[in-house]
Amino acid sequence: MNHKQYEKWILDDSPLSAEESELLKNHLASCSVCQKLNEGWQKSLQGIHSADQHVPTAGFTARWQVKLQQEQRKRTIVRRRIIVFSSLFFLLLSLIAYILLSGSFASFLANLITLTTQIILFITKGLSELTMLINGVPSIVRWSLGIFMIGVANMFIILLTYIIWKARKNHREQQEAPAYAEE
Amino acid sequence: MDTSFAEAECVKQVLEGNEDAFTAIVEHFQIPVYNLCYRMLGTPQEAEDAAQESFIRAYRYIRRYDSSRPFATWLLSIAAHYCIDQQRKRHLLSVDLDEIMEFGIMDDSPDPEKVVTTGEQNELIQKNLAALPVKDRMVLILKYWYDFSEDEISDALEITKSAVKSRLHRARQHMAEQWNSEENDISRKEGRQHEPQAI
Repeated sequence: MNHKQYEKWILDDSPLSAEESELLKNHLASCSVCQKLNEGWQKSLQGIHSADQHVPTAGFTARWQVKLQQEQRKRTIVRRRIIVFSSLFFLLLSLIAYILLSGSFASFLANLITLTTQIILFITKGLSELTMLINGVPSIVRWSLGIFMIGVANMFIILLTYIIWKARKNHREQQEAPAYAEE
Repeated sequence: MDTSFAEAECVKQVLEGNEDAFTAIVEHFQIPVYNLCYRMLGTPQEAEDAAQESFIRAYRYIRRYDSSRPFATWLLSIAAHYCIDQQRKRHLLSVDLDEIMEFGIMDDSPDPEKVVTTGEQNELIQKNLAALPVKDRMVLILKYWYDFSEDEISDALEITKSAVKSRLHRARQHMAEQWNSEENDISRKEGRQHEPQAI
């Protein structure tokens, strides 16, 4: 009989008939290769059946809950970004549609430049009037205000640094991996 | 696995928006999912990450679960696919072949000789599993650790039943040969130990 057939009988789960079992038994008695294969598989099977179940460390469910919350937060952020970018894209498309439908791209451009120039002129005028106003104030008041403003700016920088440091600390704590060691 | 666990009720509650019901599912299935991941990936850390991710995916895609099938089969198939993906990624990163062959064995793993002779076959089985091709390994794990039928394996891994059979056959052959090769190594070591020391 084909040698492969014996290999199949040794390795496959299908039950053998009495005649097939006898044939296999006789073959194993004479063929060292098949005998070795049979022994190797039977021992492996025994090892598989006696193998321990690996279990996670205590707190697996709690760690999963934390991970789920992080995932949900990430998904919310992604969803918000998609909404913002979609809105911006929609606005851009509307603008292009307006330009195309209004008929004249040149007039739209001219209007845009005029509007921008007017805004710049308004800001410049406002700034020069502010300078004139400041010059009318006594110098002692100006110096006091200046020093006070420097103090406020410094406080603002310190506050901003603290907020960034706190946010980074919180982020690091959330990212810290749980203990994994098994058993 | 405890069959008295009311998984259908839990799934129903999750679908109604009760997140705590899924926590009960995680609590109940954590060991089989973790064990599957450990058998596939070989280290506690990777097994933990894979098991966590499998539960996240199950939670996210729970609406796709077909209640006519056992929940455990569906959940384990998610874990199986995730582990296979992880193995493929590992392969793409061109990890040294020797590392793959030995990834299941910790640095402090006992000598193979000691493993066999003391009956602690667990590490040897894990090492032999690690040497199998990814899908062959998964088929063997589902068959012998989770008692999946060939049809269930075929469903879970989305491969044909004949592919399951041929993979199982190949995996068994590989395991048997690996076992014999380990035994030969041990015999050679023993032979060397009994040789008289050259002066």
